[in-house]
Amino acid sequence: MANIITVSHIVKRYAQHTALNDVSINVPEGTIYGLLGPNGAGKTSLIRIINQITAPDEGEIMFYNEKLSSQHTSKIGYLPEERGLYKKMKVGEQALYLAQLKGLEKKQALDKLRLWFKKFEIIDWWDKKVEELSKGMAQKVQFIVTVLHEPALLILDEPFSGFDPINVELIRKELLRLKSEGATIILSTHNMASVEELCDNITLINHSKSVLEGSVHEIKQRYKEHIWEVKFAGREDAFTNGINNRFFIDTIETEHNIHRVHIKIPNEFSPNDLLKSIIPVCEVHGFSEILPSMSEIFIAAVKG
Amino acid sequence: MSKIGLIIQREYTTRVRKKSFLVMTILGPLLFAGIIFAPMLIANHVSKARRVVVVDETKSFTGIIPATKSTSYDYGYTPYPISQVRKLFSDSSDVSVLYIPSNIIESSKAILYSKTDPDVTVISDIEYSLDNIIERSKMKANKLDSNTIDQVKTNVDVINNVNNKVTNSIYNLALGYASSILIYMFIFMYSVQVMRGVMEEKINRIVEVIISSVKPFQLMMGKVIGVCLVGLTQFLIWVVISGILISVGTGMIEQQQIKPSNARMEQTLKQGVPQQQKVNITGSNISKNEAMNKGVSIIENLENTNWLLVIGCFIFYFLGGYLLYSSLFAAIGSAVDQETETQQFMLPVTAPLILSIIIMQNIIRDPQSALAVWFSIIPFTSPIAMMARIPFGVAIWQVLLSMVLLLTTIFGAVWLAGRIYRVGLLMYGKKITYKELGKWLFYK
Repeated sequence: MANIITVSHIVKRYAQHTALNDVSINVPEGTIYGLLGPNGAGKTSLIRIINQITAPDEGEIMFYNEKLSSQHTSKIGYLPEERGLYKKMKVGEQALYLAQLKGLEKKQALDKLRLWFKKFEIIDWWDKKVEELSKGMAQKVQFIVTVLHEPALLILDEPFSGFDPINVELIRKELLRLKSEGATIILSTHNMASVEELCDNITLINHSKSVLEGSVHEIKQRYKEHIWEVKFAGREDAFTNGINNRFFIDTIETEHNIHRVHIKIPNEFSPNDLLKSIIPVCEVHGFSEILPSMSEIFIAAVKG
Repeated sequence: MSKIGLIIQREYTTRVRKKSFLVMTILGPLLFAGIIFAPMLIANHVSKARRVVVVDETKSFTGIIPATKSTSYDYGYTPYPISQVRKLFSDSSDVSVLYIPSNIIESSKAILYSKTDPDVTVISDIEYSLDNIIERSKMKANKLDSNTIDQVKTNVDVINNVNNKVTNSIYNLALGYASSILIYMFIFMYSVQVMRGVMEEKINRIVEVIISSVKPFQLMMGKVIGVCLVGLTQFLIWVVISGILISVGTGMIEQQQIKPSNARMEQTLKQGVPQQQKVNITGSNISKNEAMNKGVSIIENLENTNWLLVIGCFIFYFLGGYLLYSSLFAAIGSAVDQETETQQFMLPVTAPLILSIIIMQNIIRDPQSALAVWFSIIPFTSPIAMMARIPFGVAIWQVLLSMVLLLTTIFGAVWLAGRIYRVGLLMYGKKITYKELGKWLFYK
């Protein structure tokens, strides 16, 4: 799979500090790419560089095989974290203006806008001024103008912050639909649940450096601690005797006579070894591996 | 349409459609006309004339002091002693008692008794009238008859011929003054609008979306040009409406002026004032003649003015000054988060503008002085200072030097503003210092 964006060894310095220090990322086309990291880590700086709002001091960015340049802006849609609209302008007129700035022809832009406004149920607000819109409606307008020109690459900075749950769901669905139609999406977020659900690959930026990069699946494998969950019915002491100190019990919870145990399997044993030792002493109801959540990985990686 | 074209279009249409634009477009000319006519109307305003009762101990003034706009003598002259007359009118606030003592010729002193302070013109009108009468009587005493006196009276007109062209410096002064003030107002009003527009985009947080589609420089120039077009539109409407208002207004004032002077003439005739005195004292004939002289001179001037140069320079300095200042104002708007923070940066930027308006008095008084020349060459003051000088005639090398310097400075200022602008737009919640601004220039 080709990379739509290849960021190589980017350095961005400001007067007092370095915002990005030798950061590289590869964003495969047709995927959702998560940029994670604590506040002030440098995510927004990186996003602004990819959007050509600021330029890096060192390093280069490729859009497919071309050096990123102003001709690519029409292929990128950007929803910044701090997003606003002209308050005194009419909604439709403003959406049209922003669409035209992205290179759409007037007629084409109007047709597309009507479709999206109907889809998001805000067509009645076309001639209203932005200041009359509720925040949720303004968010819909902002999302529409970001995706209207059908960009190959969508960049969303904290897309779920400040959105109400209904809009979050709406946008989540739209993102998955856009991905299925071939769009690539870069999103920076704090929302780990959405990372788990949406992202194929991530980069974790901390203190201006990339500290973790890879596919979500691969990273989880890398961070897993070989803990398995066993659900069983039967006597707890028999179970403990069965594993016979070869495996380490992390936690035990009991509900309706079903015990749920987290067990760490040491490197010299396999899950099958664990199963073999417990099947004789209890009735196994469930057996699965516990993978770390992105949130746990995030905390572990950030704390070092 | 190109992106910068779209930005210009948006800036233009949203501003022109605003109610405030409509209001200012209508109020502007009224305001201009008001500024021009208010002093004229006030000067022309015939407040109720002060009634003056004259106690003339010499008897030589009786019946011959001419009435003016500010004074009337219809209560007449009285032979009663001053103390008695004063007592009689001690309670009337619109009647004054003029006491002409017997020794007025030697002392040159008379007294006007009033309950309330009279208009300043009352005193000066009476002084003027008495002076005239006394002068004449002194001349008579020296055996000069009134015909001789009239023959002696002389009024020389010095015709101002500059480079074989007859010019009127009052007219040049008015032309220079008016065009400089217009440039000053235009720069100020619309540069501030550019600044506000930039701040609006920054504070609304729309700017990041826009500069992901266009270069910050395009956005800045689009705004500067768009606002400029708004200004030109408004300006054009103002010129048309003001022209109409001023011509109507002038017509009305002229009519008003003729009526009272006619009435006064009749009055003075009734009172039997000698013809010669009337000519000297009432002033209406003189002012008419002067106006006629000036009228001729203004028409000559209109023909003699190098309109191509004046209009050409006006447009150049008008746009040049605006470009220079509006780009700097755009930079200020981008650097701050709040209106109150603009003050510290606005002062140094506007200082040259304000300075040039302050010293304009000196420039138009002596357009070739070193001060005037320097101010009209230094780019930050040249749009105003040079325009004030142009009608008087300026050496061509000075005009060219000033234009080249202004253009160079515009390029420099736009570059500088563009550098600050693109960084400033995304800086929030930071106290901006000049040092900080300096660093922004070198960000990539």
